[in-house]
Amino acid sequence: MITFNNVTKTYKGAETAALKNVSFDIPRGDFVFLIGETGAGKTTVTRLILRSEIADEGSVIIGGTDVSKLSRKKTAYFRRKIGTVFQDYKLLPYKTVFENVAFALEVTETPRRNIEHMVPQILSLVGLSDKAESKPGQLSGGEQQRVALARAMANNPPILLADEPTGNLDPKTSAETMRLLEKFNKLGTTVVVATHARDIVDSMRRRVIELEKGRVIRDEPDAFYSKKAGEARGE
Amino acid sequence: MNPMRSIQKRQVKRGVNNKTLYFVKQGFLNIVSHKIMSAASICIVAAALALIGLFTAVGININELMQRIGSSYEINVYLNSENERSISDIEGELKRIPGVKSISFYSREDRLEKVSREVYGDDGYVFKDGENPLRDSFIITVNNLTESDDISKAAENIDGVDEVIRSKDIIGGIDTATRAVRNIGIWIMAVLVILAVFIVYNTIRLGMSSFENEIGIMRIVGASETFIIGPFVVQGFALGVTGAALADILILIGYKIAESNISALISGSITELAGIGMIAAVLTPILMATGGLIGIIGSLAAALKDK
Repeated sequence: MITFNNVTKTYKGAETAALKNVSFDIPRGDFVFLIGETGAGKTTVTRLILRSEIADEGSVIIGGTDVSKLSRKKTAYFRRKIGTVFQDYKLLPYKTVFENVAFALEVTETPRRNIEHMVPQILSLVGLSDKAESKPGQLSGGEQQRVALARAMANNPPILLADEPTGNLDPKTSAETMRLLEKFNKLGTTVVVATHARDIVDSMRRRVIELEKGRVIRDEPDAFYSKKAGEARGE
Repeated sequence: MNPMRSIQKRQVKRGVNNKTLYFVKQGFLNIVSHKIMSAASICIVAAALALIGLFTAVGININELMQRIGSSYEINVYLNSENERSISDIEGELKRIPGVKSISFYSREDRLEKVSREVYGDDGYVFKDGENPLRDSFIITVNNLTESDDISKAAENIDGVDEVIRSKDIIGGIDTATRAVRNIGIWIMAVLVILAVFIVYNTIRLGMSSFENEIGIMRIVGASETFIIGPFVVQGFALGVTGAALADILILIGYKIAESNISALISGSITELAGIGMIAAVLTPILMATGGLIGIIGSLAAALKDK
């Protein structure tokens, strides 16, 4: 589903590469944690997946498509296949929950009739049916992140990309958010989560790709946040 | 009815699914949300286009004046007395000169008779002993006064033509005035159009910065570039056309006042200004098209800057 082949990326003006010869393959339906310190290259990976950046060397293949070869017009349509969630939610404060989710569908030119059906379904899936008329400012952080998740999943994308989705949430709300990501994963969505949240990674025990200074230093299934933690537990 | 169902119906109606309607609605929302900047844009576009309109109106009047003079303007082509070519050959060549409206032949006998009648009446004769020093001639009228110079030169080069005489001073004066108005006008108009495009550009950039979040989300969820920039192009177009309409109204009101004042001061068909109907018919489409173009260019430049 997502394949990085010897990807190297250096930003303009930077002395060192943000990613160096990074290779991994994430099959359809996988759930992957992308971990590493700040500056390790997690965000560059997400930006390359979204085609906000293009690799200098190597290739990024998403769903069989080499994203560097996508035209600008095709990039827009390609992005509809990827739902994205951010730490800061990126909700429109003057729109209601319903309108925020519907916005993603309206701007991708989904017919009105479909929006009427799709938004309530997705709001029900994230448990926000009763908040449809609330504005983001009236919601808790966890609820806002659920709205962002609903918006990301509104177009029913095969890939969900979450960049620090629990960064602004307390442990209990973080766990709820991760349960939702698992729920979407069980429904067949490939989920990639870039995170620093050790507790969450340790409690979920999913595949972990660890980056350090732009290189993949670990790619393990059912892993803990740190290799040492796994070894300490005899794994 | 399920309360969720009623909410969704109401809220989806608030959103717009028709692309064109969405562009128009968002475009006008952008204008309303930046009233002052939009008003400034409209005023600058209007000022630029009003000057363009003024130059156009002056141009139309000069053209009209040229045509009025041109209708009574004649080029006299005198033939060589020893000319051996047939009159019809020379006439054919003269007719083929571009810009010639009509051509009439006057034989030396006709001209002598005419001159004599003008001087002495029916019974007189100007020259002694049946002498006729006059030459055969053609009188040419022209389609456009500005072409008279080229027509005269072409006529002079025809074999059998002795001399070409025309009222050079009038033409020279009008031509110089026309060229001066056109040259100054082109430069001033170019500067004003660039200024107007720049103002529209800035207004759109300001609008885009306040819709930064929306644009960011639109890009993330996969909205097409057309869908993202469409409303801004509508906004630019609306600013340009509104400015043009304002300029058109101002120029036409001003022209109407000028027309009545000038006709009260000076009478005579030569000094009469072109009718307001004619000015409106020429000016309105020019201003609207220029205004719309200024808006579209300004907004496209702004919207595509970060692409």
